[in-house]
Amino acid sequence: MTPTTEDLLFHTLAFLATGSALLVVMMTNPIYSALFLALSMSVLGLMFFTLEAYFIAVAQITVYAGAVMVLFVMVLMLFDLHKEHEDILRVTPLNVSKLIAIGALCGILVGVGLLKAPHKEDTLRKTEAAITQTLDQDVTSDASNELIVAETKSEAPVEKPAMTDEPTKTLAKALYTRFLFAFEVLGLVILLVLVGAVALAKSKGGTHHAAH
Amino acid sequence: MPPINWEEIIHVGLNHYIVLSAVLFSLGVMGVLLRRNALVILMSIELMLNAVNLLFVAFSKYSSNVDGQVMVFFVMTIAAAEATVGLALAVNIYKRFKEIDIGRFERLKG
Repeated sequence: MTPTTEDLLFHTLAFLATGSALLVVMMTNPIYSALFLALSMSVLGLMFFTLEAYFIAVAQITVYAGAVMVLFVMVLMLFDLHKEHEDILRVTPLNVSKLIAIGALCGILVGVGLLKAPHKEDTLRKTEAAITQTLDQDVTSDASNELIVAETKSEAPVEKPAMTDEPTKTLAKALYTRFLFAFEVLGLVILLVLVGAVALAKSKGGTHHAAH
Repeated sequence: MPPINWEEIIHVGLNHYIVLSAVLFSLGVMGVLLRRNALVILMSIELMLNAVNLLFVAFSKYSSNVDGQVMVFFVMTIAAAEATVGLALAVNIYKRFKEIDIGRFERLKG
């Protein structure tokens, strides 16, 4: 019953992440939204640390909480938004129906996730049951026997790059061998996005008045 | 109604990450649906992508398979690219209408 340190850490981080995510949505001033988004990203980065995904955690903090947030805040500074009055808490039939739909979505996600997630104990139990079944059965029905064996095989991950005590090394190996093509394509996508963003910014002069 | 199993609630497992990720994703959807400010909508999209990343990493840990983390790497890159294009669009909208209400998007044609 007594929670371990990891349990306490998870619950604290989860509370912080959810709270700051709610504040991102609720704050009427977009600057505060951006700051709470940065907090939420950093907390999720810490959570990646506790999940032993060290490279992803550092990338999360530098890329999201660093680069992307700076981009957001800089663009916010370009705008003159102090006269914005957004009433998101106004109770209208449309807003209420949206909230109900969001609640239903959350319920469906949680329900499907909890029902369909592969649980280690379940998988073990299934494999065990299959094995006992195979042992009990005689060789009379070869076809069904083979089926069960195949099922047992598919339960166990076939080629599993084991997460050793060097998770980053494992990640790098996977990224530069099996996912090399995707990695290269990603570089191309970033180049295209760069060209697109420059083209968008140049059209009609961006935030600056075009020189006439 | 079955009694609440506090043991299961306190001790962290994969289910905890599934629930947390679903809640964060729903908060992102809430931002997209309720807000009118294009920048806050972009931030909410980032929130949704992060919820998915969390789930990827959690599944990667609990099935001790590194592929989930590779996917997170890709999602992160695409998210940064998407934020760049979205912000460029927002700057264009502001330039033309002096505000960034998404109601203005429909007048951008032509």
